[in-house]
Amino acid sequence: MTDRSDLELVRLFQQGDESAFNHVVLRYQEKIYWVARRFVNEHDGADDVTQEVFIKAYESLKEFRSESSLYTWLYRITVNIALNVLRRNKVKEFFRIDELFDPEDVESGTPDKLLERQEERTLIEQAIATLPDKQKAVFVLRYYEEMPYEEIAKVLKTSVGGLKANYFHAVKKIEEYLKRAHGTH
Amino acid sequence: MHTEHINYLLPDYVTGRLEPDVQKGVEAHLKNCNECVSEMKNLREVLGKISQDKPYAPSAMYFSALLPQIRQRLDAKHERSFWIHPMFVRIVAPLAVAIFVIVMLSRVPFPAEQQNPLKSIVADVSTDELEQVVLEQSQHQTGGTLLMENELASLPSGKALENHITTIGSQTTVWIDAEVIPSGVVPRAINDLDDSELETLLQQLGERTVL
Repeated sequence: MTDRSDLELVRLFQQGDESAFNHVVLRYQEKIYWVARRFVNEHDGADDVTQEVFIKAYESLKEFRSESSLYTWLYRITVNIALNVLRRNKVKEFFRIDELFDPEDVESGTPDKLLERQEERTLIEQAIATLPDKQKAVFVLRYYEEMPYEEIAKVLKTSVGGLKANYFHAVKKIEEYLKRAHGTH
Repeated sequence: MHTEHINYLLPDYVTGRLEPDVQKGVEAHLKNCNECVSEMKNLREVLGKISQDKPYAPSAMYFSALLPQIRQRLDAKHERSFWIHPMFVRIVAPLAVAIFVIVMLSRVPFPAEQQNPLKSIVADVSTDELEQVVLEQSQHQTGGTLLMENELASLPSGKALENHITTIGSQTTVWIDAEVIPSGVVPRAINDLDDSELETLLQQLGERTVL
């Protein structure tokens, strides 16, 4: 079933084939996780968002009418849930250092260098966290997901027109935040 | 090309995500616009920093465990949704509670049921019929408890039998006139009759009914 298209999987699920949903999860779980992770900046929150996305998808997939692609539809759910989580948490415990990580990903370098990189990473995450919802969504989808503006417009249900401006202003705000943090503004 | 438009294109220019013809247009503009070149350098620096922001990946086990977790949550959710379904909350649950209450109430023993059921049956018999049966029974009865002298003395004598049957019920007492009943017959309260006597009584009542 792994070679089935998204649309075929949706149709199978709508006809009662539960395993089709499993394939949707397996196909998109990493993409959804990383979008969620870019929004909430920590593993546990991203895990919660990812699971919520697929639970929501399971409940709504019966009514999915292929007006957009499954991929766009899942991203829309992800952005909405992630933004809701952020609003709910009000950036509470927002900048935790992850405890769960792959040991192979541990960076090499002196302790001072590692600390410096960690501080820079935290600053960037803080800067992104301060962005307004729409700019944050556009930034995550465009920069990290490399999504075309047309797709972003579908995900966010907006016109393409203002997205480039949103993206530009998001980057400028991150730049200003980092400059302020380094005292070089 | 207007400067503002170039600004909005610069993040994509820096990351190499512009269409080739748009990229050429931006490059042409940058050759003649120091302001945009400066902006482009700032953006390149910040996006360069962001590109180094690589969060720790979850363990390899995480993604293989994700689907079972989602399935587990879905199952739990469906189980919960049955109990909070409006149909259940509004109809099934109240109905079940009502049935439970009725069943429990039906199991509570009422005072009348604590008595010998035979006695309650006798209590339903009409006075006249009971009187007749007791008389017939007494005529065939050879044994029994004799009345004490003081009890016999308290018995009304020479009165019609029907006058000597008092309340029918838990305290019903049937007085047997000494003139009518052969000696040795015992006046008894119905409540004092034992089960075999009551059964005999009922049997006779039944026979009479059949007749």
